[in-house]
Amino acid sequence: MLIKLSNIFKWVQQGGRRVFLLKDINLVVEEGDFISIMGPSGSGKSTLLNVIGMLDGFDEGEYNFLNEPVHQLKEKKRALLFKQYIGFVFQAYHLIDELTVYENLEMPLLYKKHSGSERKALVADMLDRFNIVGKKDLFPTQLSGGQQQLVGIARALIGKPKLILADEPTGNLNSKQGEEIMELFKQLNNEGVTIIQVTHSEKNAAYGKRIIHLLDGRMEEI
Amino acid sequence: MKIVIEMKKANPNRNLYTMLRHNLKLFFRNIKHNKGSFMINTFGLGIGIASFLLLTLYVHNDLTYNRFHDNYDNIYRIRDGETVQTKGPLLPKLMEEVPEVVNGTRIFDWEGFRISHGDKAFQENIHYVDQSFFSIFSFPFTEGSDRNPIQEKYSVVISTDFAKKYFGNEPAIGKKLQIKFEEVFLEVKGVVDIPSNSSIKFDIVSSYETGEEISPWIKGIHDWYNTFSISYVQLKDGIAPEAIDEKLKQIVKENYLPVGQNETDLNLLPLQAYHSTEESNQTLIVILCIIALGIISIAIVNFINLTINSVQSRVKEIGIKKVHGASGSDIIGQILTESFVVSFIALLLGLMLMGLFLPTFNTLNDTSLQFTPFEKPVFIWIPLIIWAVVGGLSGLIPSLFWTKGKLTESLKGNVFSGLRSSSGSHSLIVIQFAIAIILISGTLLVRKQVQGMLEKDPLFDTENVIITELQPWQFPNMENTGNNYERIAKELEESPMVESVSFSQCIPGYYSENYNVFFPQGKNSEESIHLRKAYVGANYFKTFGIQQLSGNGFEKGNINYENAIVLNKAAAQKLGFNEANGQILNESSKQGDIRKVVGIVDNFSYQGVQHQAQPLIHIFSEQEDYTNWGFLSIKAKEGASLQMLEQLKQKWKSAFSGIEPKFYFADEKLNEQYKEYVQINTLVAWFSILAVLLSCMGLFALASNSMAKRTKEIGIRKVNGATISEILLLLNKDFLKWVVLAFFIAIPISWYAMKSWLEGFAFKTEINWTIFLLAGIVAIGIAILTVSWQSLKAATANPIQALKDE
Repeated sequence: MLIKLSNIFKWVQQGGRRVFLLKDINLVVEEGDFISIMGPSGSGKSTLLNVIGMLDGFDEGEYNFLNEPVHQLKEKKRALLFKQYIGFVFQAYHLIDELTVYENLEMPLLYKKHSGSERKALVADMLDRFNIVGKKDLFPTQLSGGQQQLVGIARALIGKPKLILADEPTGNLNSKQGEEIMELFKQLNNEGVTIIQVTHSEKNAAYGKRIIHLLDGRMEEI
Repeated sequence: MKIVIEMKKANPNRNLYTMLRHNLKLFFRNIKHNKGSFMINTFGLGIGIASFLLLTLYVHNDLTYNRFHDNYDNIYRIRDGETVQTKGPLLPKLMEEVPEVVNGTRIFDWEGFRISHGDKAFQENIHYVDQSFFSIFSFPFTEGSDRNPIQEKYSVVISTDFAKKYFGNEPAIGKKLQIKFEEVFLEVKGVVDIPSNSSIKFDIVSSYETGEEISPWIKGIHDWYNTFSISYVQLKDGIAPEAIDEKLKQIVKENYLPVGQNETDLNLLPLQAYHSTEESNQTLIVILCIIALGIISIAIVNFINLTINSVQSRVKEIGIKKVHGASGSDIIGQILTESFVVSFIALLLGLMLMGLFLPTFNTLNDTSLQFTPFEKPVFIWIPLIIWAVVGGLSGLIPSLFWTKGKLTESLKGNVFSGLRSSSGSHSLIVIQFAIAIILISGTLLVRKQVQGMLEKDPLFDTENVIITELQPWQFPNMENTGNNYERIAKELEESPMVESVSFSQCIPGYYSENYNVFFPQGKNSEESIHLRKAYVGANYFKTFGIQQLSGNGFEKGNINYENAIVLNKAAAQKLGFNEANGQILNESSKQGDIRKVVGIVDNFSYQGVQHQAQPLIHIFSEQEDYTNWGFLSIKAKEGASLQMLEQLKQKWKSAFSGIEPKFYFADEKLNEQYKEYVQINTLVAWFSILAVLLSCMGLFALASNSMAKRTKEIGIRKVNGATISEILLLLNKDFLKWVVLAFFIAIPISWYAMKSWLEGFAFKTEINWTIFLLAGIVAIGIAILTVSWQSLKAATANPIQALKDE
């Protein structure tokens, strides 16, 4: 069991009232899962993803990650967990414009204190695997959206995470590019990476092994 | 399943280096994208640092006056009451009778004559000093040594400037200098490089013994009556000057004339305090300190503000890094690296600008300041401290926001929401503009005061009087020269273009520091009075167009003016004389020389209108030998002064070919008295321009920041029908109200500062509300321009663009 969420609540105070962003979420994710989260705007999809990704906290409930109680962990320990096991893919790619493709891939390794030669090997490996060796010295603005997202995924994978969290990874892409990215996810999942994605598209959601629907912060699994 | 959280252990040094390289790479690429803001940022701080350093140099130089003397702590100058001239035999007596006095020297600086070497000849002011001069003071010798350099008669020590003037780059030691046109020579035994911040300055010094050989009259005036020498003493270590007060009183009582009745208060002024009490304008130093601190704070605040702004666009980058495992300290490390690099560049730029402007600054202030950080370590520390403060603050303040900012928010690009309190940045505007307005109004007031002083009627004729500086020392043949002077004066007097001519020892703007005590006969309001003395010839007052209030002004005629004097109004009032009718004053003592009052003249300005008119006494003087006079003044008929000047030049040329004449109009010497204030004016003006410039940069940055935040609001307003001018008004109002507030804060501070500055002047210009109004209009006008630059861009932008952002 990779993740276990039990009775997760999250709310904000607005005008003296509690507005619930997440309401009583219970979810178990096994290693090798591929989950799609769907729901209308404002239903709490991204919030849930951020909670799972430890970017955001919650107000009530328990969250176990590889049997570690995340809700009880100290900030430092949580950061280490996060660094080692989780990779993020964003709708807007979030590449650093001032860095080349190569440097963007290298960036997370700098913070994981890899040595220079290790970094070189890992980045070269990724470039190879994603077939973007020829693009390594280009800056993000010189790439198409699909290529940028490819780099974004490569960057998420470079630390060899167990879990990839993707927030509408195809939202800014055309349908063909989107399809390619989804195929890539499927392939990665087959290689053993656990994937949780947020999406609006039924078609993309169908790539997942499970689909979760959110409505007003409540979860219903199909 | 047990999870293992493992940390790669890499070589920490290598890792540090990798991070540094990564940070610098990002930094320089970022600069490339934001050249504009980077330039503004570094230039602003650079200018601030340069100004601060220049002013610090000036202030430091002033505060470290005379420190180079090894005996700095123990040297005192003896004052005779308030004046610094003392009686000749005092010092030898002190050395003999007061054991606390371990060393001492006198300086006699009333001697001047022509000194020449080959064909180089100048009028020089030679100082005679006691042998101990070079052991009590520590002047650095560049040639020769401080061991008894003036022991032999006719040996002299000269300054490097003097050496350069006479000998160029040749070694000076052993060179001979001719005195006047006589066959008497001085021999150079040493050259000293007098530091620029020395109160004691000289061109050429020799011993008293030499002086008494050259001019035997010197011996005569070193008695217990005359005060012609400056005296310095060195006290024993740890002895306070008060300790010898009683002994000084005793010496006065026993020796000063008239013995037993003299009440002179001798006191010791520490060399430490000499410059600040006697020479320096302490108000100016305070003003400069305030300007320096004001400008550097404006610059630093701007820098921090601009840094925060220019990196705001990079909030997302920070967010991305955090998502990929960057810790708080990684982020702080990156920001600090950048802020220290930028501030270092600004520091270098500041040092360069300072070096560039130092010569101009020196000319402006008549100083010879040098930036020598290796000799004065304080100038290593100041830049380093500025670097540390600026780099640290501009790095730490944004990192606080960045590391604490909510990650999910920062990925959307808005981490600053509500973090930077708007009251904080607005108070910055208020402070900056208050400083700027104070400086602008200060500039205007100083200008008005200088203008007022120049325009104030000095009560003598400044338009038609031409003065000839006679420079008799230039000529070997005295008799011939004297005759020529007399002849020229006679010829001029007969010219139809001339109203009158007069010989004198002084002219308005140039009265020597010659005072004496006078005792009026009969019943009077004062028993005795101190008067400033001047010797003038016939027609002096007529020539200068000075109004006679009573009696006679030494007009040429058949009157015998022997012992006749003319008082100015101040002196007459002090003595209680309403009119001149032959009242008698005795000079020096009740039995002294008789002086008879024949006239009273108006309080004309003879030392600048910044001073109260001092009581003056003009003593009539006739000279057999016309080379004893200093000036020949000619009053031309209305409108003929230029023609007159031509004629004068001709006459001078035909009589003394080869010697450059010195002619000037009567107000020229007077206006030299205002030079200091013109300097202050220029200085304050320049730095207020800088302050305004820097404040505008800050405002510009704040405006652009705030406009960026309000893009959406502006878009919505425009979609709903707001016009461009309505938007402009809305945006500008927000900033201008703070500038207006600054204006009201600045007024009382500025008014108070002006009032204290004007306190030192006899003639005070009026502190007018127009000064504040003008300063306010300038500041607000510039602020409007600055803000409008930004707001116009925001107001005219297409609202669709702004609203698409979501």
